[in-house]
Amino acid sequence: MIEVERVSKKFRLPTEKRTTLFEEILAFIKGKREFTEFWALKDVSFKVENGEILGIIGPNGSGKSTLLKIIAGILYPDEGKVYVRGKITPILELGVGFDPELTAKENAYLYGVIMGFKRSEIRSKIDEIFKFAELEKFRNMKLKNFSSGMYARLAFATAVATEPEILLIDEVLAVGDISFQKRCIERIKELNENGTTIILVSHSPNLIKELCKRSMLLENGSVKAIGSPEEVIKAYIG
Amino acid sequence: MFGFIQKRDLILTLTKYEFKLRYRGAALGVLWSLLAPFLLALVLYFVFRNIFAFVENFAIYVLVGVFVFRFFSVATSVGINSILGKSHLITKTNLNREFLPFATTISYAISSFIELLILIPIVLFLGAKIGFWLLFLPFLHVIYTIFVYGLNLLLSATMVYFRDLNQIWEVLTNVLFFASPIVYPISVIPEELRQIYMLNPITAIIELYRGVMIYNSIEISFLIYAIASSFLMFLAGYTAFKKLQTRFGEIL
Repeated sequence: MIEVERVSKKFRLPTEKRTTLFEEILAFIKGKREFTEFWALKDVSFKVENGEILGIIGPNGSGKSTLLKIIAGILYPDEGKVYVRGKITPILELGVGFDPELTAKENAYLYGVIMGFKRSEIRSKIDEIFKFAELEKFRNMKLKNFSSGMYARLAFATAVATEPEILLIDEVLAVGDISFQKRCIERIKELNENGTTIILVSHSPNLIKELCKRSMLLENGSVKAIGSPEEVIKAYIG
Repeated sequence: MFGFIQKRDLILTLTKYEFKLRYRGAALGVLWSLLAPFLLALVLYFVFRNIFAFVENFAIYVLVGVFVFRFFSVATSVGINSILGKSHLITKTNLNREFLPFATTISYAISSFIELLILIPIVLFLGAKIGFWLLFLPFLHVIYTIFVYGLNLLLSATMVYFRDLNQIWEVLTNVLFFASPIVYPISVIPEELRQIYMLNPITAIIELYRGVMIYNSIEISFLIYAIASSFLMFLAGYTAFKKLQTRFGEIL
């Protein structure tokens, strides 16, 4: 279960980017330490029940990724609170932590533990992972020889191999060829049927309609609509 | 604290691959990493042996000093980047961030321990008195590793905010090299400065290693000071890290 309560997030963008101690001291002496403030999220509240799939849509820069990062605990809200019951597995980008010098199998382990799985869990699923990714022949190939499609398939297959309690997915379903995309969507449905709670960010109204019973429209950092996908998409597209 | 046991799979895997990637392509692996400190010790020995001729067995004195300090200098110079260099893991996953400097520290602690083990027959051959107290070596190394980890927590978190910290740290490391008894004995420090000089925890740590690897003895006051400063360093580093990490996601 995820409960987001009146969450606001402010980003402070320094007018000049200062990242060294030296620059910081100089700016301090000159008395110039200005920031432009920018509210990426403003007073966002919603709730996701156990076993639900919530689809979030909205234009670029509306705060969708920021929201997922706050739920995942990567960013901290300036106001409001997020209550999460269950272990979160965020897939915000595929293949985070992959190392080109390691083999596909080693990378599956590495990525798996980074996603929070146990080695024993990955070991018991390793055959399934390679079968799902259709990379059985390339287990011991170094990742630097992989194409970007193979890379994404391995990452996705590893990420969804076990059954996470809560899954956050940010725009990563559009990888691989059509048949792989289909299997990804099937797998998401299967995970949800087995009880995984999912928040899905997507630009594709069709995908939201297919997967979600409830959807939310985010615009300029606030919730513009929440309800059935049909209504929300209507509000979005107009 | 219990997180470390719970997440041992993550720590072990990160450490394992960090170790593996460090030595990739190098058939002689750890042996190469021995060559540099050996040459350094050799040079220092020839430069200073006449000045400090009164130090008993000056060659192994320098050798142990250089190898012990090396863990500190190498592990912190890499560890300072352990957050910044893995920014994608910080901004795209929710893994516990304190594990990144931990994996770096552990992987260097292991190679340093291997180096020290290789050093044992060499110092023995050069006339060290090794005996019962050598059994203390792993314990000392754990204490030292806690110290380095605490420092790496502090350094890696601060580095995110101040990107030139690594250059400042490089200079400080060089200063510390000469502010620690590596190429000279503590007795050359003037009596009135001795108290301040001894505040440097590295001094106590180096002397403890020399105790178990050369003199077969252990100085209790050094041991107490080393343990106390390691835990203080860890506590300070951990607290600072927890405070500083809340904005990692925005800055990186």
